[in-house]
Amino acid sequence: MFTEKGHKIAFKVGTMIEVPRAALVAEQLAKEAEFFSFGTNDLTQMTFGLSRDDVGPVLQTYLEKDIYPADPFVSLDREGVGALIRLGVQGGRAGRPGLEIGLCGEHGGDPGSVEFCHQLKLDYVSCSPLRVPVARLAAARAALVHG
Amino acid sequence: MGTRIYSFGDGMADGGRGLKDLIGGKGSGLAEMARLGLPVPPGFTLTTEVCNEFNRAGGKLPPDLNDELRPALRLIEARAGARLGDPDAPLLLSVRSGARVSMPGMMDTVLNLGLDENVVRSLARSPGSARFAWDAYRRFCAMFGEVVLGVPGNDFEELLQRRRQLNRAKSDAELGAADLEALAGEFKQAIHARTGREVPSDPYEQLARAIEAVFRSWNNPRAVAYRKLNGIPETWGTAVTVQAMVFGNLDEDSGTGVVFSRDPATGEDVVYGEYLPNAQGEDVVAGVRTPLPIEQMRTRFPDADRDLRLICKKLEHHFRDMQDIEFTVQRRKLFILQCRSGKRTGFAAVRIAVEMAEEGLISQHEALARVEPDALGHLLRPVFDPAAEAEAHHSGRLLGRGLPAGPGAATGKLVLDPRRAEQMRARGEKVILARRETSPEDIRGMSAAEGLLTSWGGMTSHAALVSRQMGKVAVVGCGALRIDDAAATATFNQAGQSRTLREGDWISLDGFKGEVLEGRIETRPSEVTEVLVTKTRKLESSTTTRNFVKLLAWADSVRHLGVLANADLPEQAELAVALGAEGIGLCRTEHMFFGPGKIEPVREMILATHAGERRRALERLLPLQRDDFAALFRAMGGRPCTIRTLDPPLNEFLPRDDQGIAELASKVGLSGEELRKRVAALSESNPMMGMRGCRLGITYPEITGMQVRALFEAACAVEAEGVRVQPSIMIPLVGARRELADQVAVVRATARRCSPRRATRSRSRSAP
Repeated sequence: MFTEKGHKIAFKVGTMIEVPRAALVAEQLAKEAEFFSFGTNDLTQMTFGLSRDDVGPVLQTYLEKDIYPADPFVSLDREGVGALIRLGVQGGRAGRPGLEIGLCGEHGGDPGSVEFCHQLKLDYVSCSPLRVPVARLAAARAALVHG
Repeated sequence: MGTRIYSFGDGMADGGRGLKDLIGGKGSGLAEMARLGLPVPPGFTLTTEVCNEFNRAGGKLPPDLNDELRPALRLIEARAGARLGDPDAPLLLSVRSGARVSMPGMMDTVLNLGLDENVVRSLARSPGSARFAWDAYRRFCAMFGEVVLGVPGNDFEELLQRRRQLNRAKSDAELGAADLEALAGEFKQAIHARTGREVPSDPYEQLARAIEAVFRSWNNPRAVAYRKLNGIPETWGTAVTVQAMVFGNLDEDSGTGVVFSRDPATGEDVVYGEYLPNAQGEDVVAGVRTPLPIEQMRTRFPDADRDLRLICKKLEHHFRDMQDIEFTVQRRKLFILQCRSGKRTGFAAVRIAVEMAEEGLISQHEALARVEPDALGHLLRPVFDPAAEAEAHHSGRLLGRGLPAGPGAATGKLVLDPRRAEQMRARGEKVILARRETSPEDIRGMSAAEGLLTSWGGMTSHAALVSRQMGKVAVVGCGALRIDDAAATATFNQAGQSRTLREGDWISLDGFKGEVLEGRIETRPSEVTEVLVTKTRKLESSTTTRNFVKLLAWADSVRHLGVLANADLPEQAELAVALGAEGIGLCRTEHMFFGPGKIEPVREMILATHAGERRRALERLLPLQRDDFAALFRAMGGRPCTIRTLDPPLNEFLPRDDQGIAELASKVGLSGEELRKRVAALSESNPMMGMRGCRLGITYPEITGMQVRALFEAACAVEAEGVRVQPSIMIPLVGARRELADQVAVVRATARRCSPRRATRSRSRSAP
């Protein structure tokens, strides 16, 4: 890929990890992908088998009855979805050492989820523009707590 | 078993701030203040371990607790120069809860303990003390009755009200000693009638029952709910502090109040607070009398005022944080009853942290730890004009309080029905939607409203969840609010006053504090947004922004994680960059397809039955998509941009109803029947798991090809303008290696085909 001036525009091709299977076969995917980005909206939806658009009434009951500790679309479910992310990171970096890995769901702007990304040694989070300052501070606080 | 009781007073204390887990926030604060030599009434704290023992024993105090209690009481008596139950110099005690973390108002308190008929009569005989003595006694009876014996507080409130009516008294202050004496008698009768039990006259018995009751209140429903909401384990337990009483309601030379060592709303470094002359702490909390600003204390109690200001600074330096301090002035002498780290708004949190770090009181790292990340979100929300909001409070327009579920300030016309909210919004009116609670069918009305108000529900209610998702200002669970749908009115009952608003009346919501205010209060955009985003304000004129920028610069120097933004349009990208995004981590190309002039070729592409048709539609889309990418790259000014290929199910782009289908049919030159067939062929029973993401790109590689080509051509064009472009292409919904391999091959092949000559040619062709 060249511009008129003759120098190359470097580009990368990577994949979203948002289907549970992708996290399970991450090592293979990393052979093809130059980066991973966890799409945690879909990954949460598919891991729970719970449609994000129809979650309202279910969630209300579930939170009232303390069946879920929190809305998994707001604060990342570390136990389940988090386990898949962990697998995805391990597999990805086994398949391609130093693989760049990010997260680009709504969780990217949730402080607790940002902390989790730091702990898993992700490279970045991507969140809605208004949450950027929140994520910057959350990332700093995670670095102070966890080193 | 270690020591169960920690005493404090006279410049000494057994405990200190290292023992917060054991003696609670209040106990450790008092111990620490006693050690600092501050004027703290003597007392002692029973540990949280005793609370756990109490609970394990099924609600019984340890039998040998008395062996420790008696000497501790002797010590208070010696320090206070008064004795429990002694009619000549009676020691009166307060019994309060105090967990590791503050749980304001969740647990119980008993005050004026140590009074009985004998003591009270003796007290009342000293000159000028009759009213005070009987007032203290009737308060004690009511508190003991409610907290220890479980009599509904309302019983006492009704008797009090009747007594006021009898005397045509507007407030309790107008009731004389004889009335209060009579009232105490009525309270005792009411207690007996309800429970068959008496208020014990033995002060030791009173104390034991009160300690039990406060331990019990650790498990009352309010406290349990609060713990759950705030993730506080049940096993922490509460400590109980027993302390000599001091009285702010002795005479006109006495008073009580609360101060913050810095302004808890703005964070400004000024002592902020209120006090009430001739009053007890509960009068300030109950809001029956309007407290005076702390600035007025100087004229009345100059010495106490000076001491208080010195103590504010001393405590702030000692604890290295903004302090919330309760004090009482008894006959012009100042006593400090409590100190703790003060609760504060997001605005204040940022300012206090940054300024304390600049003052050298805390480190930059501590400053970062002091600010909850969400507080920064608050700084980006619209606010009320401060003068207008103060005026609203001053003129008594506060209608009620609820939970602050959606931060920000909103003002609009009251609407009680979601459909009417939509209609009024369509006419260009600003509305506030008030409901008992919301449900999914209210969504469109909620989206049309500036703000949401509900009378029911907590921070996880539907209204709270949805307003957070929508970024709406919201106050939920406003208990004062009663909605009458038939009459289309909303009535607010607060502090004995009732106010009714009709639909269409102006109402304002403060979603930072959870306040509902009557009338229209002008809002204004966040200063941070004005400085950083719209650039309509200078940095020098905004302390808030200065602190915001500084704190985030410190954060950036510490963090390892990169922070990128999800942005699909140039204005979103600009906003993200202004707020510090290092690039775009996700651009959803489908969002670009909804723009004007784009949906038609997108629909043609979708409805195409063969490759030729599809290619023609894609050729029309190419320049549009290329221009969008170019604009995005320019907005990002050289920062990395990750572009995701088309993701959603195609039927999301197609009309659903007959009218839409008829309109589209005439545009694309198909019969309604034919179009309906093609739409039906595309419909899926579970579209989110159907033909979307890379499945689309694999089925129709020309779609991926077009998008990638547009991307590279845009990158070339923008680089030619001298702006660096760092594109990444991201394939969605991959679950198998071959899916990804297929799309990577399409991307690489397209990249190879995009030669510089063709890139420039296509650019010149699309240039206007």
